[in-house]
Amino acid sequence: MEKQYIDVFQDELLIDAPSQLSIHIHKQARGSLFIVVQEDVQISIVMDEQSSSHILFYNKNQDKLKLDIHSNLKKDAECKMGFLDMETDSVSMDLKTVLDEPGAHFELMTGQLGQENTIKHNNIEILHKAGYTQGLMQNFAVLFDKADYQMVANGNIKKGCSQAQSHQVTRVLTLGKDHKAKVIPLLLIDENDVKASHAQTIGQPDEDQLYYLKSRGLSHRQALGLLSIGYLLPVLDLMDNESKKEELRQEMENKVGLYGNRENS
Amino acid sequence: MTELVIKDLHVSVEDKEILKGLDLTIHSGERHALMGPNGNGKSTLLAAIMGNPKYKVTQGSITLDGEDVLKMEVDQRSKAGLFLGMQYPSEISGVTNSDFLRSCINARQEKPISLFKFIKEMDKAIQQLDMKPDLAHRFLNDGFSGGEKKRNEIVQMMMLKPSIAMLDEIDSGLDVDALKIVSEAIDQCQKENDMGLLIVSHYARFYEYLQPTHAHVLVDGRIVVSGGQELIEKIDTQGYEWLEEEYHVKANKEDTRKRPTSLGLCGAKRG
Repeated sequence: MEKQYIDVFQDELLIDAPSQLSIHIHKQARGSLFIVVQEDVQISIVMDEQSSSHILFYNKNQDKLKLDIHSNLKKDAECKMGFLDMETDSVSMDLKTVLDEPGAHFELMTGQLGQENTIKHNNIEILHKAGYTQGLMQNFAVLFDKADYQMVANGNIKKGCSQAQSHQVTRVLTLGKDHKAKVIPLLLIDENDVKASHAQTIGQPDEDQLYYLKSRGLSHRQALGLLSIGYLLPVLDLMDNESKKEELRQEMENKVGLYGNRENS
Repeated sequence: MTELVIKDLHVSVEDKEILKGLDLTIHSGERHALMGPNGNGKSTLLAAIMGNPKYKVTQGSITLDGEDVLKMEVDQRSKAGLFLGMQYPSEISGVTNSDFLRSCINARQEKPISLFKFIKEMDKAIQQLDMKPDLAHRFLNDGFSGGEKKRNEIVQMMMLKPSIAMLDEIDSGLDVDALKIVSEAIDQCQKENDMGLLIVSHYARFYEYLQPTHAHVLVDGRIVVSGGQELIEKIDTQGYEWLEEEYHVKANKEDTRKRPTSLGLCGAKRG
């Protein structure tokens, strides 16, 4: 499947069979894409100069998902990409974005809910091949019993890419028992005149916070759910369609147990 | 008519007994002022009623309209009608005030509150507390000033409409104008919901605004004297020392001795 976008665009794509998808966003085009993924897919994205896009991937696969996303951004292209994954099956994501020309700007935000016994393994890289490029990776995950989360996040700045910036943050909230959380932040930098940073937190919710939430009438499960929402909700900022956003938000609240549906679990 | 009855309450924190047999009864519409020197159990009482897991009830009973409060989880106590406006409210980043409050309201009723009604009630509370309109969209207490946090506690109280509200030094951190605004909001909230109030404060001005119907002084884990406005005035002018003589009690003094300060570990390698 091949999709071309020019001028102003807003589109919703459904991947319901194993496939390859090619997306070309032309010069100065700007818009948003909402891509619902129900099957394994390899996606290649090219953004021409001065184009701008919000692209949100939403996992709706009922089985193990393999997601492979490769993007190339040209001069002054700007992309904000999100991946929201609240499914109970495993996910393996490989994501690589190449900032080919000066001024290219890429931001990634992932939000993953590691339900019981699920494996969420991610390998992401933003490769800077030109100066004055910017990359930002923000990864958030909430883990329940026996979930296995792995995030390898690599900011790679090649020689000669002066004034490039690579930043990354990973926050993992662990709510259950016997979970595994492995976060490997990498900064491979072969140039002096750059800015780079990484930060990560992995931990359980604060007892005082839980008491505070419960003292207002939320059950233990609902309190954990509300804290989880705080981790996952930022990804929805990439959704421009307000009614769809509200729909996803309701689904999110349901999945984290805010309505008490997992009260006994 | 709601009735909160506390009988012979003993509470320990980390194996140290703080409350040593406390009796107190609060009804709807009443305003109880709880005073006493620092470190004698006022906050402990409120936290124990609310069910803070750090506080262990070793003896006695707490009932709300005959129901055993001590058998309830923290959230059940809230749903039963208890509210504690905390001295140090938690900051929770990532959770907006509106999401939090909407979830709390929905947790206590079968049918979710309509968005229109929720926004209307929240706007009313925000206006009454003279807070910035963006409060609903800010993260819960995150980056709030001390005064904003206290006012936000009252916003929550107004939205949750408890039958018994306990306010733990809710006036600390408030300037003179804010104190008046908060007092008026508490007054109106009580009139609208006929709730009982248990107020801990050190400041007579706050009590002047609220005009408590009852006053109690808590010393060394027990209520040693109860009264009305005249007791508040006496404490304000004479302090607590006269109580020790008159009632043969000894107040716990907060440990104000200077302790040695650790500068941390030396990072230099040895050898």
